[in-house]
Amino acid sequence: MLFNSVSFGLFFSVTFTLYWLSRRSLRLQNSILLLAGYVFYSHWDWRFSFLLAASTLIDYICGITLENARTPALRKKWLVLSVAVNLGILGTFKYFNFFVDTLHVFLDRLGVPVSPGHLRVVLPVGISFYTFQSLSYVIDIYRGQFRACRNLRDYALYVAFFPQLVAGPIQRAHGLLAQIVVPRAWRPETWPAAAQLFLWGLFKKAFIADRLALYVDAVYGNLTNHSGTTIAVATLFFAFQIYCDFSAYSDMARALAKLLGFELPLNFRAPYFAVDVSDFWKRWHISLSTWLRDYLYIPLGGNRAGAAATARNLLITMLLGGLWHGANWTFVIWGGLHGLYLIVQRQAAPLTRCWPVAFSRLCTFLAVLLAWVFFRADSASAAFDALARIPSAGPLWTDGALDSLVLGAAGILVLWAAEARNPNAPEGVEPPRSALMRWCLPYAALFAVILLGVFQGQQFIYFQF
Amino acid sequence: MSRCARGLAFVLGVFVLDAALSWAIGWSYARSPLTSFMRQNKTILYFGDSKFHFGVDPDITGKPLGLDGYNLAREGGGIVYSKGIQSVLLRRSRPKLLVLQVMDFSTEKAAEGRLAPFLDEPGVARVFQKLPTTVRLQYSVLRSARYNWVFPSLAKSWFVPPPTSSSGFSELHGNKPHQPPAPTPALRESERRLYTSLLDAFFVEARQHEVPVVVVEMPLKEGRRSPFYATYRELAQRHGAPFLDFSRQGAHSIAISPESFYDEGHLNARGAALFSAALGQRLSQALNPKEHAA
Repeated sequence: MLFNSVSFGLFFSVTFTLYWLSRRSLRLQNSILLLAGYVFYSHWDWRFSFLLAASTLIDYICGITLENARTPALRKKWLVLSVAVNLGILGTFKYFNFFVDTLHVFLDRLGVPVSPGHLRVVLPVGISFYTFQSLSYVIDIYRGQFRACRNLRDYALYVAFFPQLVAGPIQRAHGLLAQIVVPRAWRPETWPAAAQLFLWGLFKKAFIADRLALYVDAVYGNLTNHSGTTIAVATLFFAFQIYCDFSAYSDMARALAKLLGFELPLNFRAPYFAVDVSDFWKRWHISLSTWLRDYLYIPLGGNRAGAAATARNLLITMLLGGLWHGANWTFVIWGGLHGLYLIVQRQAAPLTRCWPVAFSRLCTFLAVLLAWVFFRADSASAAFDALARIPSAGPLWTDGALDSLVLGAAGILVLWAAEARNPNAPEGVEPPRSALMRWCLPYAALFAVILLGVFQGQQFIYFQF
Repeated sequence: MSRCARGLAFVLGVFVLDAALSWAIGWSYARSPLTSFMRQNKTILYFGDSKFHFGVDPDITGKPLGLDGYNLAREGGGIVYSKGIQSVLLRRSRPKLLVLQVMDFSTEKAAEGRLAPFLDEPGVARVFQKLPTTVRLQYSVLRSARYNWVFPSLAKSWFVPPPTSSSGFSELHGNKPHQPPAPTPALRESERRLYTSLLDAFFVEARQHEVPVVVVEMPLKEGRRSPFYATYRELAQRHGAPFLDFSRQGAHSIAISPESFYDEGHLNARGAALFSAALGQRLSQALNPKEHAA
């Protein structure tokens, strides 16, 4: 059930109506949202809702028992159990076959004949998101930063809150759970802003991302038949496709949450206006980058133990961040590249500090663009092949793809114009100042989506992660 | 103005703008080169998907019969589009023959968009009544949503007129490197029933207008048959329509070398010329059996 589908529109209308009709009872409201979360999740595959429930129950119990434990050793045991179960589920469903294949290749090179066994399972949608969300809850209790939730329904809703269940933003207990346990204010005056945010997300998804996807998929699906110029344009398009696709989901999730009286944090803030890679990670998938910072980078030692240890910590964090995205070496290389960028950036800081902002932005964008080749390619060899082809100029592929080229480029320009006004806007994009524009832009966005949006049932890219 | 009134004004504006836009686009579409086939009274009409669109040149096929024709098959076409456009055309003209390709049931793209200006015509409306509620809702709340599929092509035609073809046929050139065919998406039982009923309705409406139908199974590079071969064959038999099987194991198989295929399923210009000529011969035999027996 995609946010940009009619079935979701019907689902949300029913949930929204029932939810606000029962606003006198917090329990009933939370029960409705919980039920809606499970209905929403079961729409992909009902069997995985049992996995979601099991993961929820285990962390709920671990959270309470961890808090009740009298000795630090016992607390640690419960934490280890929770982390092991969560990573075990993630490892089984997402990484088992990847590690088996990698081991097989390794042993094969050593001359050890093995026949690897594979698990025939489909990756449960959004598993990485809700696993990280559950992990942060237990770790926060272990650190004493949050009290364990004693109400199973409320905790289950924290894990299964449908606006952000399958593709984030990854929530922390002090952010979302704290809002779940208190009554939500009836504030219809916030709905127009929420509707505009949803419309902006819909525009980015249907008009920009899915239009660009037509070109990118055609080129990356058949690299050998395309020139370097075409591959370069497709890579540029992919940078905006993935940004618009993912930030669109986050915007729509925030808008839906807002309509239900919740506030979810900003997940993207004009990332291609970043002046360096570190700045890029403060603007890109903020909920994941802060998660990795708080639960991996800082526990590893952060930047407190000298340059070499900092470099090691950065590299480990980014490699695992890359692996979080998917069980493929392309994601590991992508993460590794970002790790290397961050290390180089720290060393070169005295030199780059005096660069003009526009030049810094351009260099950062090109570095990020290079890494996107690995993220998009089907395999590491395909990525290297694409990079090797890019310098060889050739005709730009337009045959049957002119619509995608023209409309995709127009979409990118609109996005750039919207973000360039204030790349540090607190809400991601600053609303127009003139009243006329405030009236006209929503109409323009709506009818651009209706007439020129792509509706071919493309899933959001981040669902697979 | 209160927030509530502003919200209502905005929603009202959406509906007013939608009505104005859908009227203007519908008017423009009905007069664009994209709908030129509506103004041509051709005697043989060809219905199908991209395999037929790139595979049948009506000028060659119609030669043995001495009849002209128009290729209505389109990329991503399917039975919903074919049935809808059949209704529209049979209301306006009296062709002598309808040639229907055996199409996949599961690959149809945005039939509702292609039929946008005709959605209110009784024949097309009946087709749409059979589609799932969510699909109908998508095109009922805002009328301009109907034009989503055709609007980019229509907008392009305002600046660059599309090449006018008198027969609706397009050519593919060369050979594409081998690519395994994309797996056919699984079909739900409800979808199978819907498509089968539309296919049945195609024969029924043709009979009501006393226009014969011929069903054609296209040759594929790998020599296999369409997964929906049996369904079409059975319906053709039930309605007494000739079935021309050009697949490798079929009764009307013809020798087409791999070089005459653009890819696994589509003929290139050379293959289309060969196939069109053979189809013309078979159509002539099927429609005038006595003449050919003599």
